[in-house]
Amino acid sequence: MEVQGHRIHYVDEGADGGKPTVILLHGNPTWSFLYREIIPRISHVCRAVAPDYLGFGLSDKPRDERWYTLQNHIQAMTRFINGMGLSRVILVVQDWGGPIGLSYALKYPDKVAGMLIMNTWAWPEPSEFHASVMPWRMLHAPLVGAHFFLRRNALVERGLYLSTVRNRERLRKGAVLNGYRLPFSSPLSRIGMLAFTRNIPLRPGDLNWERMKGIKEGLRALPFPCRLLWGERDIVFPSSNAYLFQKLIPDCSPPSMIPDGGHFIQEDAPKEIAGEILALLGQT
Amino acid sequence: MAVEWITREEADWVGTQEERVLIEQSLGHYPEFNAFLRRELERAEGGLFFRGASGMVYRVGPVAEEPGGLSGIEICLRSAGGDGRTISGDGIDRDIWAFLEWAIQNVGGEWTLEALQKVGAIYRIPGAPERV
Repeated sequence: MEVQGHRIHYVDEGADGGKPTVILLHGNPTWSFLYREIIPRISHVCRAVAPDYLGFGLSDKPRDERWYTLQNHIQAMTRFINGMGLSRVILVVQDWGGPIGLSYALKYPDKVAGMLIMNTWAWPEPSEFHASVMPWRMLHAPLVGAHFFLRRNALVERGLYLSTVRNRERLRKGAVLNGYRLPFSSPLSRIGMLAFTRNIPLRPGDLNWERMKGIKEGLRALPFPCRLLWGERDIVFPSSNAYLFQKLIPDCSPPSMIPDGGHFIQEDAPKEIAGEILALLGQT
Repeated sequence: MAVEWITREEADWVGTQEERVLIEQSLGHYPEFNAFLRRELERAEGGLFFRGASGMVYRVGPVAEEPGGLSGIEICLRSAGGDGRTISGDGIDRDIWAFLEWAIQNVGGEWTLEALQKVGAIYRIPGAPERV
């Protein structure tokens, strides 16, 4: 689909059998490939759509880092979802999919039948991991970030492995790692990946501080059911995030915790995630 | 691993063909980096040149300038061009690593060499110590 002059690639499986369409949103540095083991487990009962953000997967990749603001990602995904002409959706979100998906849900609450929220955040205060120089802020510091992300593709080559638990060995080498490498074959193709890291607010006044504050405030008014699933060994977003979501969102089940799940929970627990989505479809 | 700073004339002697090996488009998100690099480039009158441990020579310079500071920095490999040399990616990575160590040590504050080396070790970056 073309959005704002750029092409967005998406996976589209299953059929609209009277159920809401499930929109599966990825984070950094992944793409719709992240949902490859979940889609076949749900597409017999619903339509499942997994888009790639601009700068990721098989979507177009603007070459100017300044394009890659959270605002632009939200706008692009909003136009994409609305452009699909769907009457009701279920949003499945993880990592940056959280702020992006929640922004859509806050603007179009009547279109959202439910959400599954996984290993993400929706407030301005950074996690301890995001606030620390070692390793996170050093990783994307000026010049250092350009080398680690653009030249060395470090977040794909090593970061995925470090942030997965149950199935981490397949992120060390082989076909699955190659699947994550595929969209990022050149330094300039990786600009979106680096830019995402620099969109994380750390203190008031930072880019996106007020935006994330607005998302947090909006959680209390979400009018649809939410479910939570969390990789307990996520070094980026601790389990306490899950409990905070449960506290803030009015209609939210207790989180389903995955003891051997990491940040890229889709790699560790696809069967459990599919189960949560099917449960949510049953509620709608 | 130290960075060997050379003059523009010494760099020109190697050659004036350039191939960009690193670009940092966004210095703005940590202003202390911007301030440091702007100072160094002003001192070097617009062009910093170094020879890496590989023997290859590089120019560090602004990508563009905006009012109030640099917008970006590039590192370009210098050569005579057309000499048929195969440029080792690993050699370039190690040379860039040495430059990063210099930069981090000089930016200072919360940005420490130890932190850079630890992150480099975690992500297995050529030139970084294997364990810190």
